[in-house]
Amino acid sequence: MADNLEGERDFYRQQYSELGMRLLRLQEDETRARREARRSRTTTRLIRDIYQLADSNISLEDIGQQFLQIILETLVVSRAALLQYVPAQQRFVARQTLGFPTAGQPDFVPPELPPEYYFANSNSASSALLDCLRQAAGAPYFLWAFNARAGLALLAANLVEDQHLHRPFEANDQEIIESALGVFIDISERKRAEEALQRVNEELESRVATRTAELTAANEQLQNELAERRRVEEALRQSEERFREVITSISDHIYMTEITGDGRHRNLYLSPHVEFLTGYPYDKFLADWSFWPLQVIHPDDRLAASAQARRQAGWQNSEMEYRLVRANGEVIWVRDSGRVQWDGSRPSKMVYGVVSDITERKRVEEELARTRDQALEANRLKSQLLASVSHDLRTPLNAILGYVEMLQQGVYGALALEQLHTLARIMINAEQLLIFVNNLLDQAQIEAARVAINVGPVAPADLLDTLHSTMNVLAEAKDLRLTSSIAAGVPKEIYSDRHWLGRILVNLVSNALKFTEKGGVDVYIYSPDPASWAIRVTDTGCGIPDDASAYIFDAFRQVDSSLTRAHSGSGLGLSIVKQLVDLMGGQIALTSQVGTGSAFTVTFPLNAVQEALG
Amino acid sequence: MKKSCALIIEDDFDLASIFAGALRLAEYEVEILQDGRLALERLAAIVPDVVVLDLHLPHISGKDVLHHIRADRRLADTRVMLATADPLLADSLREEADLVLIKPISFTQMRDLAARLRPRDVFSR
Repeated sequence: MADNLEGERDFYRQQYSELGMRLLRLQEDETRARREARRSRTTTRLIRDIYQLADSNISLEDIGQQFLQIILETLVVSRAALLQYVPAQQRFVARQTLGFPTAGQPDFVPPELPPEYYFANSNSASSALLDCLRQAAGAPYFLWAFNARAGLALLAANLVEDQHLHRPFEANDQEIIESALGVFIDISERKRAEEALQRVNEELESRVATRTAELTAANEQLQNELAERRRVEEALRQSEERFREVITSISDHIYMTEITGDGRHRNLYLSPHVEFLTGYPYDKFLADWSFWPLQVIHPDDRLAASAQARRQAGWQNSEMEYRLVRANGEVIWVRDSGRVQWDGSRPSKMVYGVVSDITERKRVEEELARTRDQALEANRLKSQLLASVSHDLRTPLNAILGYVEMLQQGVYGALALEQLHTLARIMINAEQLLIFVNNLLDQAQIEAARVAINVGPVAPADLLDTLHSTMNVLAEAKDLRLTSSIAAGVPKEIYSDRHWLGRILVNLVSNALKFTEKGGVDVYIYSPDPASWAIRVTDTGCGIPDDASAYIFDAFRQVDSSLTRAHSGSGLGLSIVKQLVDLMGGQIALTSQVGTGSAFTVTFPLNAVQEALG
Repeated sequence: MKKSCALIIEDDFDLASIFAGALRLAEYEVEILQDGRLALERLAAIVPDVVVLDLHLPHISGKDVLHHIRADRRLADTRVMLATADPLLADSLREEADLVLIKPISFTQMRDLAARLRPRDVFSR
């Protein structure tokens, strides 16, 4: 834009100087004309000579030639003519010409005009007369002198001067102007030049004004742009400052590494935090990329770290944890995550990465792992203990029960009534203890998710036999009825887990017996539809309120704490039944009426294997 | 009527005593052995009607004793009741045994089952 401006300025400067030169020339001409005007006084004298010439008797032709010659030289004109008015013809005739193409043979024909044009008002430069003379002289401007009385006129044409000359008219007594001298100068060119100059000036001014306005606008825009740029630069600077503050204030070390086409690494940026992280001076890292992998990374982790660098060179983002050895020998853990990017303009790639100190996290993790190992070991010991407790509690209890039965059955002879009664109490308590111990162990097993379902053929009749062998004594002790029956259509053998079915039955029946004071408990095995079989345990006990059915299967819960005291129990039985039924793919349902009794129904699918066995 | 003969091979003293009590009540003459090797020696000499066999035994396992009984034609009529706490092992031997009982086994259970095994012997003879 500045170049354009300069060019334009040059253009105007040149134009202006050309016009100036022209003006100067015109002014010089004018000055010369003035000078000539002064000289024209001489002309005046010459005109007087004409008068004298006209008055004298000397032949015009004789002196005309000489006279005109003097005029040409004195006035510095190219052509001159001496005209004489011929009254008989009422027109001018050329008496003598000089400078016209054919000298001596005048082709100069003065215009034919009525005499009044010449004489009526001979002092006036009437435009008609002047036009005629101009035409007659064949020149746009000329000098003329006229003596009306003598009828002589002098024309001097092709003056180069453009100064208008005139001599005051000389009037005689009759107020008839006898002589006049005028020089008509065509200044149209000067006018045109002046006008052109004026126009050019005006145009120049207008264009300068336009350009100035444009320049002002451009300048303003430039100023705005400059201000905008300053604003953006300031915003950028502030943003960078904020960014720097953020980077400096976070405790992670941030780096920007360039990987060149030939696989070399070069650090382009490192946050100052690298000093705090490692204890080494900042410059060491910036100057030499390999200082980090070769000096700071723990010797045992260098191999893995170099593999990471290779992965990054192969366009893979990476995240790894390794140890650093600080300048003071302290070992810390860091996590180094690098993202590989290519800006598209260079053959090299960039890695933007963050290195965080994770020493504390590692310590917590190690502690957690240790705690977890301890917990696992404790759990293993608990399971072991549970297994041995299971054996150690059940075996003697079973022996006690066996011996009591032996005595009851009279293996060692008949017993007294009191002895039998006492044995029955021992039996009942031992039986309850056994159920309780079994439930505790089952619950522990369920909680540890260690329940193994071993599916095999199970005869429902055997299940009931086993049930009676343990439960009869409890029923008899409370003087309750305990019956069982199998509906027609139930397969002789069902495919299921015998052990857990036994536990389900014992729990349902012992629970029913516990809450029943009169009447009894009935166990019924049936097949509700061809695809399933079910066990229903019905009692004539106190019943279970509706709102309790929601939590009756929760572990350690009993409906009424007052009842719990009266009926003593762990509250585990039904919970275990529910969990076992779920594990075995069955469903449990409860129907109950308070004061009348309850019925628990457990339903299991009759699976394909069992059907195949028939 | 000649009493049936039962051999109890069980290393747990209490269980052996209780089983013996139950079998006696079911009219068996009972002999108890607590060791697999002794059991095999004794079986070479007698032909029991019923053997109550524990699987975890010192020296020779109950499983081996069972295989031996089944391989001996002399003992073809001997009924074997397995008594074990291990249901998986019991399942694997279900074909060879006449009855499989999963511990705990109550006194009355043993008595009733032993009594159930006896009549067939009586009638089949």
